[in-house]
Amino acid sequence: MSRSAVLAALVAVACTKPQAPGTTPTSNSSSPPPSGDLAARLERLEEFNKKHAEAIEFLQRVYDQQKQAADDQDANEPDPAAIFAVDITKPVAAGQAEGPTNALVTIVEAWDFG
Amino acid sequence: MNMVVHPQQVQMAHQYGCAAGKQGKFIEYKDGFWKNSYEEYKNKRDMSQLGPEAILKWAPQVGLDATKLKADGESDACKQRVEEDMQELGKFHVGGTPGFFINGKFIGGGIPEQAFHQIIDEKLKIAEASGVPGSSYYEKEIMGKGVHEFQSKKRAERPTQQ
Repeated sequence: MSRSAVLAALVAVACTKPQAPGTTPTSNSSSPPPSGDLAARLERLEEFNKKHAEAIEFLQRVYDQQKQAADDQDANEPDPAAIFAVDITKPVAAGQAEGPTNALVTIVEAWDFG
Repeated sequence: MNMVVHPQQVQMAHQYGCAAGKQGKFIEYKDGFWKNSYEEYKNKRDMSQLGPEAILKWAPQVGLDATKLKADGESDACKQRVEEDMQELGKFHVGGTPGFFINGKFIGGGIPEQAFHQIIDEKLKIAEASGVPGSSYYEKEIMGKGVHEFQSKKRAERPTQQ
């Protein structure tokens, strides 16, 4: 969740209707209790958000880094479902092939003498 | 296909492979290279065993005309032949060995023999079911329906499954 989304959620909580007299508060244990005027509540919420902002930013950075690494890996990894059409006309014509020419399976090998 | 990863040591060995192909003895050359040149190199850690002089010593033993092998091996035509393979493989981002395309499916690096057999069997079943004769299968089903350049795992569009 982005920092702005957290802030928006907290502001939304701050703007909810005050608890009716005589009813039991149902506040979340991690949220500040909804008491005082709107300005005071907003101030508390901002403090709450500020307190957790560093942690949220840290999580966001870790997420971004890991997503980038995964994207890079996928971008360099051949599609396992793809059929790669390697042109073997020239090596075959040059006699650099083995096996029958009517084989149903063709294995193209990239090889090095080193 | 030629994928020269160590050009300083084996560029000429690859070009001599092209030259052997011109004599219709590429497989004999390849086997001879591993058995003679590479084994000697491995035992003595002597790079010269991978070079032309060493190759020309054992070449006649596998039925190669050494004079012709040297002339063709050092020709621009064989140099170009090796480069053509590397350019073609480069389109598919092959940068190391071993690498395999089994009816177009890419396998990078070594895999267990059993897994290799399994892929071949799968591809054989697909090919048999297609009804396309072997003589035209690669051209029609792989070249005709496959992708002609590297396609990453990330890319959404997929070609027709083989």
